[in-house]
Amino acid sequence: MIRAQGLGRTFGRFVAVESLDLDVAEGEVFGLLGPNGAGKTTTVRLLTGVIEPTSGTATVAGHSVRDAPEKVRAQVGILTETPGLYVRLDAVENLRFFGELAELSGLERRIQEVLSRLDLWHRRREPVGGWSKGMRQRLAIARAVLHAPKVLFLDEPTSGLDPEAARSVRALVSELRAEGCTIVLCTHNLDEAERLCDRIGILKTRLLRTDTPARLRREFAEPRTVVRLGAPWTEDLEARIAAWPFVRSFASAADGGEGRTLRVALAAPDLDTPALVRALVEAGASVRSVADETPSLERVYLDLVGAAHDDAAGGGAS
Amino acid sequence: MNVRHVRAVLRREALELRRNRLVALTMAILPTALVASAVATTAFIARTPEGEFRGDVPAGLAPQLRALGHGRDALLGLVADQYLYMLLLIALALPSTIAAHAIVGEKVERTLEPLLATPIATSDLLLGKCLAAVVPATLITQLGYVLTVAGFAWTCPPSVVALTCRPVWPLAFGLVVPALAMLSALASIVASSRVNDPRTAQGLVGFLVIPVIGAGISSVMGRLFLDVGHLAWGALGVLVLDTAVLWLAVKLFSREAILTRWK
Ligand SMILES: Nc1ncnc2c1ncn2[C@@H]1O[C@H](COP(=O)(O)OP(=O)(O)O)[C@@H](O)[C@H]1O
Ligand SMILES: [Mg+2]
Repeated sequence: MIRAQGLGRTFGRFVAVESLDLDVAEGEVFGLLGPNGAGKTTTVRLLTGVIEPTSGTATVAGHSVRDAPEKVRAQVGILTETPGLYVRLDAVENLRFFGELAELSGLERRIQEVLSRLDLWHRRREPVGGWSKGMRQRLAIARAVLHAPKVLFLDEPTSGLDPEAARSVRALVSELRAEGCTIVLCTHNLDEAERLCDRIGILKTRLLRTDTPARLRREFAEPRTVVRLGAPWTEDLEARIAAWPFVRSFASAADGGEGRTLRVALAAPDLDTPALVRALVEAGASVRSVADETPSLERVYLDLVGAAHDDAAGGGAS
Repeated sequence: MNVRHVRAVLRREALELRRNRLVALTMAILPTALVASAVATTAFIARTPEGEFRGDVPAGLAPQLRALGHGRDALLGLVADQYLYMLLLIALALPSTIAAHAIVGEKVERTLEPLLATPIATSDLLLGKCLAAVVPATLITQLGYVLTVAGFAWTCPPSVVALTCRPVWPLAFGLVVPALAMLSALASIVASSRVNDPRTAQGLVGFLVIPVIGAGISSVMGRLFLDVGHLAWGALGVLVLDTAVLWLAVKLFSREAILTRWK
């Protein structure tokens, strides 16, 4: 349904999105997860044929965003970051305008259907300027699905909503998912991505990883043993730890002061933890604390995004 | 061009215009005041006995006014012409009010982005917005002309009324007014792309009134008595400007430009 190849966009010299390769199947809910400024909105604008890519291309619902952006726009529905409703118009008038632009037949019936479904029909005659944020967001979603688009783009659908409204929006997305809608969901909310998406792409200018939430979690979520060490720390010690047979992999990071925090994946955590501690002590390290950690998806995300950040910072300095 | 899209934009703009009291009021006040003032002023002059003008016709007046033969009638003709110039200004003032709100409003409410994600072509959007400003402004201005002349028919002698109906005026209100309104609408769209306050956008369009006011002043000074020839030159100027501003507006009114450069 969506296929992007080397898709990129720069603004002047600033690179907002770079070499994005993406495949989203029909009926799939794809989460674009990334911090603010990661390029999520830019990606949505590229994939909906609203702005032109500066490199690469993409096909959405069978049309190229470069060659036939207007055809792409006719096939997609989009919930923009801000609902962008006409506040002086009521719900029906708002939808009617967009229905006319989509050249829908049977528009009035469709409006009733969509408004009833989103539980807004009884408020249809009020100017939406007086509505709560949650209701406006629902109406914006109604507008996005009005023409039964082939792909639905939701740009941060719950940001800025109170928990109750956010929950109702999530429920709605779940429903659409169950009905087989193809959805691209931008969010910086991990929990939301995990609950709603079939696959998640972690974006920070580039797409850092793409996988199912379960696999991302499984791969990165193997339990780690976290050891905090006091000074001194030597490169030599690092090399020795890597050579120990029960250490599958490990990462070390300065913990702010003199000390060091090791995150060690052990072959058999229950059995090997004493061996690890003994070996560290024998090697001359001062062990301050030892703990088990089951990383969350959040950890995965922060690691990936943090690493990308370090890369970017390093690249800029050199 | 997609007529359904243009019509949809036009209809939505009209709906919003009717709900926007401030703009609707601004639109109603200016023409109403002008028409009332034109009728009241001529009625006042016409009531003054001819004797008080002592039959003299000021020497500085245009020959067409002096040909009226009476001092009072010449003055009436001069005043009537001045009011018609002012009515022309309405065709410049109203579209900028409407268009500036139509664009700045969408910018501030952030409604342009969902709109730009629909299949509508930006040229159709631009056209719809222009028409939404040009059509009501043109109709109101033309109605203003008809009402003013009707008022003159009531307050002024037939020779003066005939002057206000001489070919140049119906032509000006029938053909040049839409072009003037278009100029004003396009200019305020261009201005609105750069500012976030409709009043600033309107202010920037204000300089367009200078030529019309200039023509009005020349006519008071007896240097100009508007005829079809002058009007043709004026219309040509307006069309040239229309084309130039249209070119600029189309350039500024692209999806890319709106989303990435309009702030
Ligand atoms: N029109 C633009 N001109 C310049 N920079 C832009 C423009 N649009 C977005 N950017 C920059 O591109 C980056 C990505 O923005 P965006 O796609 O909105 O991120 P996200 O939606 O993930 O928060 C940001 O640093 C933003 O400042
Ligand atoms: Mg964003």
